[in-house]
Amino acid sequence: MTKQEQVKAIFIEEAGEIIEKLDINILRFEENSTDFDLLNEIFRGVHTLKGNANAFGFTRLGEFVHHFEDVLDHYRNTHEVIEPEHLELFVGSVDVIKEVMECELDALPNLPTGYAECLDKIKALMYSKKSPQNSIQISEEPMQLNDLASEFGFDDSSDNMIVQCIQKLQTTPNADGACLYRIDLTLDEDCYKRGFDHLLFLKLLGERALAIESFFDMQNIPPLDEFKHDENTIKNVVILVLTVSSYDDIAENFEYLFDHEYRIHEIVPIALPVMEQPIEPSSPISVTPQKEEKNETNTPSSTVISAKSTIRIDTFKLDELFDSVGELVIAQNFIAQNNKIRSIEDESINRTIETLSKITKRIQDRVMSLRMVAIRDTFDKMKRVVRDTSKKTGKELHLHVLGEETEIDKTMIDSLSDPLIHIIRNAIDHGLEANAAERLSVGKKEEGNITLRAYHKSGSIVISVSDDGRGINKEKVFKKAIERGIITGDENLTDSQIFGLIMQPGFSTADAISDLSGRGVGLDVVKTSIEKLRGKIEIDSKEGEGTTFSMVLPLTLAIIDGMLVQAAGEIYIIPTLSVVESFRPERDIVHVVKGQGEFVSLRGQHIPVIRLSDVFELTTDRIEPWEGILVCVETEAGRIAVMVDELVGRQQVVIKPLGKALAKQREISGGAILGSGDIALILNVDELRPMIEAVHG
Amino acid sequence: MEHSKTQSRRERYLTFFLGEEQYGIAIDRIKEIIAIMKVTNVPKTPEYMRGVINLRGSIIPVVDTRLRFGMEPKNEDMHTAIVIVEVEKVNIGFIVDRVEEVASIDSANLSEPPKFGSHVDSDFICSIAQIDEKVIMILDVLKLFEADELIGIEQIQQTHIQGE
Repeated sequence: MTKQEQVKAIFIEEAGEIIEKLDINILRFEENSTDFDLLNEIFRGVHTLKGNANAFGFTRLGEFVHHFEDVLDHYRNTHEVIEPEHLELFVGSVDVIKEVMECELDALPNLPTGYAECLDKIKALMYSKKSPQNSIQISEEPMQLNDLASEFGFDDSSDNMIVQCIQKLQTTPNADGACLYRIDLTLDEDCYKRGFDHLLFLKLLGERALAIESFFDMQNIPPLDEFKHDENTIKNVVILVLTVSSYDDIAENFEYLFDHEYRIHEIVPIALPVMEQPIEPSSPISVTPQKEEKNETNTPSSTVISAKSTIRIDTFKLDELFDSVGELVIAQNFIAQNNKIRSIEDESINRTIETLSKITKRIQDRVMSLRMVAIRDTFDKMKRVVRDTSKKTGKELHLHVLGEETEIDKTMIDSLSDPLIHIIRNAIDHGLEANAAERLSVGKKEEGNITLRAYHKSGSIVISVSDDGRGINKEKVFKKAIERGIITGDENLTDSQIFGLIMQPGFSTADAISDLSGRGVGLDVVKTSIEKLRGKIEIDSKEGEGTTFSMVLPLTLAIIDGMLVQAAGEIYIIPTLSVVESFRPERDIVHVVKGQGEFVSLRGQHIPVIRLSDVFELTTDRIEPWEGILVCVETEAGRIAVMVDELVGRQQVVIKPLGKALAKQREISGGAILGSGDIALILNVDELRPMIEAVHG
Repeated sequence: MEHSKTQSRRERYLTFFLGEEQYGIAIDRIKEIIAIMKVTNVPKTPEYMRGVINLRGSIIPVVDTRLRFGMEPKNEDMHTAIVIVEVEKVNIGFIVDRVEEVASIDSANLSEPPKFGSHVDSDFICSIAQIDEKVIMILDVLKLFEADELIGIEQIQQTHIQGE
């Protein structure tokens, strides 16, 4: 990649972020169109986008954004009330920006359909606002002046003096290519204590430079009785020097000061005749730092950056780091559990090992936290989805968002958007009543409610989407499932199992296929993608009251809390999340039904017993359940008791894939490396159940 | 890998023994060679899938090459080694009886494999090298991987799920 391409790639990424943010902000603004701070933020985003777009030759984007910026600028200056139709135009404009951006990226010759129309509307709006704008522009000018003066802490008169002085110096022909510098000092109170004083600077400068004019801000000098000899009260000083020395030579004099305490500007000689130009304070100083206007727009964002400094890291690097930390944990466990090392009776070694394990744990936690991000951004995106879906379906609704701060694994967030969009659309399209009349007739308010919620629940993260619509009609679902051949109708299904049917492939209860859902991609896709994240979907519904889809996800994709068990000489790991209890059964609660296998009766429940050695076709001495241990686990299809030889322990393990070659092993979800360096396989308890059913017919 | 056309191109191969026969794998496919170590058995896999090993923190499946080629199993000894082969970023270990050497073989010495009636599945042999008295069978690792569904498994998985 060339340098140019690299810069372009950065731009594209940045532009993407700006547009994403615009999208969110414009919606927030739509809700509260008097929030002019927000409008300012939108304006700044658009402004940056414009600059970048033009710099990279994306002229069509630049053109559009330019006009959009004008309009925003108008409103942000006038604080005029924005008409709803114009708000709609703004939202539409952001859409167009998104589309144009894509066109530019793919270098498509055709512009998106809405482009011309939207641009015309913006231009028309701007035109209608043009006339009163003149007065504003005039009022802006002195504003800038004041800003400049207040920034340096001088009143107008002294500032003018500086400017006049500069002009005088410029008109005198300077020899040998000498340059004029303006040095602005803003010294802190304690600078004397640090060994600097004003005279010292002047003396040092005098060695290198000529034609010194200096201005001291004497305003803050206190009366004599309050005067402290060791406190600097002349904070602002402007020095003008003419010198043949370079910028760096001048700067060297001040290098012991803090960066914010001094600024040196080179004043480039401007073309004569100087005096004919209007005396405008900022123009003759050809400023090396940013222009004032730009400064103004940049300041807020730069303060944000200093408040929360961030760094961009390739997620691939993060994954590598994470892998390495995983190995570190394994190596550390190895040391901690090594019998030879343990047998060393040396306190300092033991202490070191203990410290090592603490540090390792801390590193692990911190690296883990690097991957965790608040779900806010995803939820913000969903607001857009809700809005669009609501417009398309014509259903008025309120969106409630709870728990935006909940943190979730970054890799999970990326794969969460699509399922979430699907569920939300589904909730609005199918969940809510078809129209306001239907809602009113059952005594609900006209506007529907959609609640998006994220929260922690016993070691998992739950993201739920609730609506207060019709709810799921169990009988309808049941009939449909029989119709579609998903079930035979003989089954005795619980409520949640019936609700689960709607996520089966080929199931759709929508009477009419709409533009939004029912395109053949059903909830089964959602189910599969959530299962890929090792999560599950729970559906809860009350007819007439609404439906809640809850996605229960693991905290992280990489580490699980596991129960180590031994069966037939091998160690297996059962995710602690699914373990309900483990016990050695009494002989009299174990029953064997001929042809139906073994089960235990526990507090009135009959739980099938699954022998790992049977499932995995391991050859081992057959022991009776009361000689082993039963680990009772919760699966999709109910509780089962997994029979193992003994419990080994409980440990946090890093999940590693077994490799593609073994990916089809459904009973095993992965492997983990134990402290000893041995591999233990992680059981996928949900897949143990079908096995036993197959075995027992 | 067109060795026959070019006159004197020399390629390097890692050679190893399975029983009495010598085999070779193109060196650029070889990631590393390690001594036999503890292999964790993965249930419900073909017999030749010996299981998985922990290679410095990554889990890598291991194939018992003897069993894969339908040969008699053999007890491990001090020569038994695992050859880690990388294809399409997938690492697989192959258990071999003994690693011999890295042989530089002139493409002129390679010839098409005959249709043997031996115990070796000839599909996986892409060519035969004759060096002095020795005969080295060059394995086509890619074919071996494909046959064992070691790569391209996602597609298979998908059809599997759809079929349910």
